[in-house]
Amino acid sequence: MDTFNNPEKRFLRSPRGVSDSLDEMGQAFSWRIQADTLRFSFVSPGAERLSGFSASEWREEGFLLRNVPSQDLSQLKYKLAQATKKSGTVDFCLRSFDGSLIWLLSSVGPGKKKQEVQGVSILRERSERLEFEELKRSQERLELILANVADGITVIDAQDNFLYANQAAANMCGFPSPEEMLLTPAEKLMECFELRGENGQAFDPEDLPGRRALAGEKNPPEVCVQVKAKKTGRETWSILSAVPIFDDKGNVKYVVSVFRDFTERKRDEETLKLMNEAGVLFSSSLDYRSVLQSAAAMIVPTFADWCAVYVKEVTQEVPEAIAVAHVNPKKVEWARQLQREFPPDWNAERGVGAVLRTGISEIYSEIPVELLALTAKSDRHLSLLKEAGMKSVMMVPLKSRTAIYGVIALISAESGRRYTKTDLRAAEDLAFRAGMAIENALLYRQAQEAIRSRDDFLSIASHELKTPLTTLKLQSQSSKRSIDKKGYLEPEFTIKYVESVLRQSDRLNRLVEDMLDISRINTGRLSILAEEVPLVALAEEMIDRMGSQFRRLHCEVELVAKKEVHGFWDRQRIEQVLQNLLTNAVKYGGGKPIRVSVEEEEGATAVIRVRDQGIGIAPADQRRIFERFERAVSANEVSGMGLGLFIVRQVLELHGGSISVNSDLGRGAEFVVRLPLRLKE
Amino acid sequence: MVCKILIVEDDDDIRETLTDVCAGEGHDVVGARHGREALDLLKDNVSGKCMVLLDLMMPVMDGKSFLEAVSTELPQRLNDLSIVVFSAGASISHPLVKGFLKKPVDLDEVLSMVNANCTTEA
Repeated sequence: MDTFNNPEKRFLRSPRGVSDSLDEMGQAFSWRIQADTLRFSFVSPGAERLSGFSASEWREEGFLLRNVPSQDLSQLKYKLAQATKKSGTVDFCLRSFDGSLIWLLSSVGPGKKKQEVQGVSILRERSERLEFEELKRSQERLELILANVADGITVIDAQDNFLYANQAAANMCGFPSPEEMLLTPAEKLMECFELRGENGQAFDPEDLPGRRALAGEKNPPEVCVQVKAKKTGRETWSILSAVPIFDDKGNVKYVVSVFRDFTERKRDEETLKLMNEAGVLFSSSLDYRSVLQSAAAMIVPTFADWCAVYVKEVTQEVPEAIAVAHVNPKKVEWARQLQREFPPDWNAERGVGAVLRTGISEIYSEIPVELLALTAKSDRHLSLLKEAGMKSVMMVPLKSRTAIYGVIALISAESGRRYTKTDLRAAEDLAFRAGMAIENALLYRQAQEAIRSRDDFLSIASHELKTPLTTLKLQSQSSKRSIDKKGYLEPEFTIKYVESVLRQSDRLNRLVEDMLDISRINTGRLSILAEEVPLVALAEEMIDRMGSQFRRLHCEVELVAKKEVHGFWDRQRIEQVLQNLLTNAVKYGGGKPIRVSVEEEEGATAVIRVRDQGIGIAPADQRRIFERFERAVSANEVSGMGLGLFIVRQVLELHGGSISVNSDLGRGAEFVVRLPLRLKE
Repeated sequence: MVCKILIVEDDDDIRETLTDVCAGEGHDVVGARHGREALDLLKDNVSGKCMVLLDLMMPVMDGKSFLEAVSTELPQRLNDLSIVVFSAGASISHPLVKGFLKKPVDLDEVLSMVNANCTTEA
């Protein structure tokens, strides 16, 4: 029964059927072969005619092995083995007697004996075979190209069924392989995603180019949409385009859709936009604190879900969190609370502290629990960190070309974004721009302070110059008035007058010298001329020279020294140092005794101590007093230009020495000068 | 006319010169090195009508603080006092200030200011 229902088998069994007719026409022949030994037991006369080999040659052992090209032989052996059980077809090439190839299309089926296969082979034109192979190769090439293009490509039929999808399309739609995607109806597929347009609004799937093409639109415009997979929350950007293919009657037969993953480009675009906005922002103000706060707010949520900015100015011991940003204000408060409870470890080997110290960025594309555990300071801290749901972190230094000012930490959490090296480069670029903005702001501040100091200096200098001038003018006018009245000047008045004139001219000279010294310091022209100086003798001489000043203010000065201390210094400059320190001690000493001591320390350093018992200097002011135009008390309170100690420090530093002060408010002050006995070469 | 004058000036030379000159003109002069010293003198030693020549930049208590302190600590003396500021900088606006002399001050100006503001016969 089976045989009769199968026309192929019927044909093969018929001894004088179509095969014989074909044989007679010279286009076909029949044969029998043992599938295990590949040895023919019978070939019909057509075989001799078509191949040029005799029937006995056909029946020789190894005939097929010798005359079938190897690329066809393995397939032929396999098909013959199958044909021992089941009918089928096989086509193969045979090298004919004259060496040319003939192509044989064969129907095969089980023979009567065990392992026997019988078959009928028809001669096919070789050109047909080449055409067929070329078509096959071209299809394979196309398959290969489509499978490997970065763009997703799908084909649906008019009934909305997927006919084709490449690997990229499957990946973009969240399927492991195209085959699985093809099993899902197109309309079901759309339910897996949420679409948003470039304006951030929900995008109607019916406006997608594929749907419009299916509805017959010839050139639906391409669209750029944000695609969020409902299952994973992953967000990507795609550019979608589609073309309809029509049948003869003008009906849509297929729709070919192309999806281009635009996520990276979109991110780059957004980053570029952010950079431009940041550039404008950073150049908009010199108040870098408010600029950094705005920058943090700008970074969230485009670039990060959380953003924290830390800055450490020279005067600050610990960096300060200038900005913490998140789209949800409640979370910002939560983060601030977390920071207060668990402030960052600025000495840690990794994290914000390390970035601040080294200026080298850190990136953690993934944050495993182990890393959190390493950072956490307690179980509670760990559970709070887990609660934040951090997915990826970057920490970049806020630095300019010359200094590191702080750190920007960017954290991705609910967006699920994973930072890449490209993101890190963008963040570094942003932080560098911010660093330059800070540097500009600080330079501006310094310039403003310098201007303020200069104005203060001019105001103080004019006041200071006017004081001796006032005395000189008043005394000269008073003398003249006396002479006008009496015709002469009383001797005691004359002496007093002359002494005062000398004192005022000394004072004017000192002021002018101080100003010249400042100018020399500013231009690096302050120089020293070293000679051997006996320091104790010099101190004695200075105290003696300033005796009248001490006496006028009823101030006692005691000099304590065990032995002479010799050193190589600029004598005039050391005189200037002593005079300055003694003048200050008198000025601020409240009329109480002043103690000066000179000693040698370890045979290498001379130490001068000048101690008063006056108003003292608050610890907060002690560093300041050695700066230009600075003094512990306000300009309104004490006369003097505030240059003395600055010049003293510069002179001492030029000698390789130093000056410091031990004091407290109301407890007097002790200035300590250290001078190497010899100048370093 | 003899005036009682209080000179408040931290610079010894200026204070002494002004004291000498005003005393030479026959006025009754007393000096103070800063605002606090002047305030103490007004409380304990200098009674009745008085002219005050007040510098602004001084240690311990400057001129401006002195004006505030006089208002709060010696309200009963306000009518007695005639205050003239003399300074190298600008004057300050204060209801108690009657006049201003700019350093380096001219002796004739000082004396005419003394005469104009002298309200007391010593």
